[in-house]
Amino acid sequence: MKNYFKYSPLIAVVAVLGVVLAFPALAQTNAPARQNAATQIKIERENIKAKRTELNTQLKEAQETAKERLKAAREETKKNIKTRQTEFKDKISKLRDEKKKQIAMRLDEQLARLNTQWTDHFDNVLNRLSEILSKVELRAEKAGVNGKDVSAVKTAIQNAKTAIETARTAVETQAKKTYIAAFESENELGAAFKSVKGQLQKDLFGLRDGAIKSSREAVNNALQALKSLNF
Amino acid sequence: MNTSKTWIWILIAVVVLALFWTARQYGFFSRPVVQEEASLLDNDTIAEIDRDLNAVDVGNPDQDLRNLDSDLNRL
Repeated sequence: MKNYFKYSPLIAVVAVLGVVLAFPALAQTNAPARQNAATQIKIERENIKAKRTELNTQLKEAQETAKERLKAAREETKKNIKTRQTEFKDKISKLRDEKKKQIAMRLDEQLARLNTQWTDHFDNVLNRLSEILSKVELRAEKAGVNGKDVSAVKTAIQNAKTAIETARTAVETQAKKTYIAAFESENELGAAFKSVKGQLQKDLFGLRDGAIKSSREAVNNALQALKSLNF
Repeated sequence: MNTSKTWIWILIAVVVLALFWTARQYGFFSRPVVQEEASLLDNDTIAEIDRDLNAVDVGNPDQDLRNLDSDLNRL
């Protein structure tokens, strides 16, 4: 018994050495599979990184294009309404009431400014929705790499892209619209301005509650489809 | 006896380190695929997207348009 205790550390060392010698062989058996898995992970990460870069580039391009389109639409409108604008200013200058002249000029500027301000706002909303959709797309890409069926998400993403593009066209159309009061006499001035203000209100709300909200809803649908993957 | 015990412990420590090194060399401590999936299951990101979307304000032109009314009523 005494001898047993005396040699026990030695027995332990021999046992550990045995494991050490056997371990590389054991590890060797699983090594290719693990190395393949590691390589696969690396490739997937690179693919996702590439997708992120691609989405960022697409996003930037789409936003710049939209900005340019909006700018071009406004420039075009500016040229087209030059004659009408001159006619309007002529009529205003012929008004006898100085106060009404000032108010009419101010209202004309405010109506134009409001249209610019709100079309800019809607353009920004669409840019933000595009950014959020890109996040959904990237996330869907990751889910796909991890073996999830992302076909429904991809369809929803495509629908959202179409909705955003439709909304961009609608914003562009709105930016081209002009709100110049048409009147023949001083008595018609109030009614004429009320009418164009009503038209602007109708158009802005129509755009917001139509194409803009539809885009938001489409992006939300894509997000809900992504959420349903439980990824 | 004490000296030999110390050497034995040193030997065991060396062996354990060798085991660890060998295991690391064969990728036993690299993250396996299952763990990689888990790291992608980052609910915060989806929650963040959700938050971003909820924060999108389509706006309301009503107040801006109402501001024109005082001038309109003076015409």
